[in-house]
Amino acid sequence: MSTDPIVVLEGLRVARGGRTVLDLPDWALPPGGHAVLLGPSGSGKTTLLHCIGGLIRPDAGRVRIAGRDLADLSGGALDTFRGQTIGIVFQTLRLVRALTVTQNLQLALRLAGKPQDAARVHDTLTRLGVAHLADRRPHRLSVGEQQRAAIARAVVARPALILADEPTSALDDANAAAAAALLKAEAEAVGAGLVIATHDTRIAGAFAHVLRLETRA
Amino acid sequence: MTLAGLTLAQLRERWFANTLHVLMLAIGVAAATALLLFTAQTEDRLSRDARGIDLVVGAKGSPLQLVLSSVFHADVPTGNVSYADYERLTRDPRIQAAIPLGLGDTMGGSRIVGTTPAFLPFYGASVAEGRMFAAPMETVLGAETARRLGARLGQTFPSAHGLGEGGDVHEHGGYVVVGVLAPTGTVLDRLALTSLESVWKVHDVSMPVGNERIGGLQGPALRPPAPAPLQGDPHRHDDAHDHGAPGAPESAMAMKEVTAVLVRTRSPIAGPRLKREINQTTALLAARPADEAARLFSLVGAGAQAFRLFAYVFIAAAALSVFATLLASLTDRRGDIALLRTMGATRLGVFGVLLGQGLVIAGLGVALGLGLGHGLLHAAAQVSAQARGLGITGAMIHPGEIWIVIGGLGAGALAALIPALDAYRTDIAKTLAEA
Ligand SMILES: Nc1ncnc2c1ncn2[C@@H]1O[C@H](COP(=O)(O)OP(=O)(O)OP(=O)(O)O)[C@@H](O)[C@H]1O
Ligand SMILES: [Mg+2]
Repeated sequence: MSTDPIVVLEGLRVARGGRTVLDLPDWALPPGGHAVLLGPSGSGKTTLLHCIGGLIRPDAGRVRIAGRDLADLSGGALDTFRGQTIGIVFQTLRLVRALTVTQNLQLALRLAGKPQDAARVHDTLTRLGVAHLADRRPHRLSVGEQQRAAIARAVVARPALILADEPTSALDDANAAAAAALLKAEAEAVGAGLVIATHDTRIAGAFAHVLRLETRA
Repeated sequence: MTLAGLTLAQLRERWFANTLHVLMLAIGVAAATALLLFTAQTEDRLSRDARGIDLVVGAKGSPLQLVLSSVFHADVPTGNVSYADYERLTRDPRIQAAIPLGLGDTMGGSRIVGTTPAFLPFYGASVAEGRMFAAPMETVLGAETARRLGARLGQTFPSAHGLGEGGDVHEHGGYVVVGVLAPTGTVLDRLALTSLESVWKVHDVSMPVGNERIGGLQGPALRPPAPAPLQGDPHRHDDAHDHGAPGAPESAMAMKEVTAVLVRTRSPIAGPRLKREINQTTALLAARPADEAARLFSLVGAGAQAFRLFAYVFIAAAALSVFATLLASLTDRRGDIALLRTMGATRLGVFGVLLGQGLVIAGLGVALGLGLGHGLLHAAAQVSAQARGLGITGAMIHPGEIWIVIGGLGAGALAALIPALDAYRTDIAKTLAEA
C-alpha cells in the first residue's frame, strides 16, 4: 500500500456569493487514518467534504486524493475516479427508492467499476446486521436500518476513502456512538481513510485526527 | 445492477403510468400501421386489377362507375353497349384485344362475368383444374370463389339477378362448374366466368326486358341474343329456346348487348387518343382504368389522411404524457441523480438513464402497436370477405413500417430529451444541499 497521505489539502479556499466560506491551512490525512471535521453550523464542513469528494472545485489551492490532484481530472474522469476511490454516506442516506438494499449495493459496485460479487455484498450486509433486509426496498426500512444499509453501500466497493456528512446528528447518544463505531470499524475492515463532518462533539473523542473549522465573519 | 437495470427498475416503480403510456403509443402506432398496410395493399391491388387494360368502353355515365363495375367488379354498371358496337371495336386496327363483358348476376355472392374464352389470355390467367367453359351454363370459378363455395367440378349452382344480396334467384337449371382458375391475386379470384350466351340465356328466361327490379344493387338487365346470333351456333340458339319465355316478343330482343368492353391497344399512345375519339364521336363512354384508379385513390386518400392524423395525434399525446411523467419524476429523483454521480456515474450515464426510460416505453409501445396493427388487419381479413377480396392481409411487412418505428422511437426519445438534459446538467453539490 502507498504511503502517500490519502487526503492532502493545500491552501484551500472556497468563496460563495463573494464571501469566503472556507480558508484552510495545509492539512493531510495518512492512509487508513480517521479524521473528524468539527465546527458549528455554517462553518463550511459540507463545503469541505464536497471539495474532498470532487463535487465542487475550490477557488484556490489543491486537493490531492490518494496522490491524484483532483484539478488534473476533468468531467467524466473525475466521476469515474470518485466512484472507484471514494464512498460517501449522506445525512439523508439517499438509498435509491426503486432498488432493493442488495441492488443499491450492486449498483455501487458497478459504478465503482468493480465486478459483481454476491459474496462481498452479502458479507457487507451481514457485518452491518441488515442481511435479512437485503431484498426490501429502502422505504420499508427503519431509519436506523437505512443508515446501516447506507454505510454498507459506501464501503462495499472497498473505497480508499470514506466521507460521511453528519452521520450521527439525528441520532440519540447511544446510537450516535454506535454509528460512529460502525463507520470506523468498516473503514478499518477495508483499510480506508475516513473523514466525518459533524458538529456533534459527542463522537469527536474517538478520532485521532481532528480538523476544526471556525465560523467566518 | 447496472444503470440499464436501474432504468428498468425506475420504470417498474411507476408501472401504472408507464403501462398507460405504452398502450397510448401502441394505439397510435397500430392505427398508423394498419392504415399504411391497408392503403398500400388496396393501392397495389387496384393497380394489379387494372394492369394491361388500356381502356374500358361502356354506356355513357360516370367513368369512375364504369371502371369500378367492369375492372374492379364493385358498383353497378353504367348501362349496356350493343353487340354491334363491340364488334366494331374488335375491327379497329389500333386495338389489339377487345373483351366483352356481360355483368349483372351473382352466384353464391360472387359476380358472374359473361365473356369469351379470350378473357383468360387477356388477363394472363389459367385454368388450374378442369377446363374452360364451352357450352352455355358452364362456369369456371375464380380460386377464391371455388374455395368459398367449396365447389367441386360438376357441381351446379343457381344464379341470382342483381349484384347485391337478395336478388331474385333465376329460374334456370343453374351453372355447372367445369373448371377452377389458378389464383391470380387479382379480382379474378372472386369471380365466376361463363359465356356471354349463358348470361343472355338466363335473362331470356327470367328477366324479360322491361321487368327490371328497382332497388337493391343491380345493373341494367342485359338484352338477350337476337334470334340469329352472329357467332352463335344453332345448337346454343335452340338450347336458349328450350327454356324460352313463351310469347316473349322476339322482335323486342332483336338486339344483343354487352355491359362493357375491356380494350388493350397495340401501342400505349393509342389509348388516350382512342378514348377521346370514342367519347367525342360515339354514344359510348371510354375510360382509362389507370386514371380512374388514381382518382379513386385520391378519394380514399382523403379519408386515410384523416385517419392518419388521428394516429399522429395519439402518438404525440403519448409522447407528451411520457414527457410530463418523466419531468415530474425528475423532481422526485433529482436526489437519486446526484447520488448516482457521487457513486461514480458520469453526466452521460444519468442522461442515459432518463433517455433510456423514454426509449423503453417507446420501444414497447412500437412493438405492441406493430403487433396490434398487423393483428387488426389479420382479423379484418378473417371477418370481412370484402377485406379479403381486396387482398388485405396482416401477414405482410411494408417497408414504410420502418418510418413508423423511427417515428415512434423518435417521439419517445424526444419526450425524454428535456428531462435527460436536465439530469445531465444537474449540479450535484447544490442538489445534495437541497435535501
Ligand atoms: N451555494 C451557496 N451559495 C452561497 N452561500 C453558500 C452556498 N453553499 C454554502 N454557502 C455558505 O457557506 C457556508 C458553509 O456552508 P456549509 O454547508 O459548508 O456549512 P456546514 O458547516 O456544513 O453547516 P451545517 O453544520 O449546518 O451543515 C455557510 O455560511 C453557507 O451559507
Ligand atoms: Mg453541513
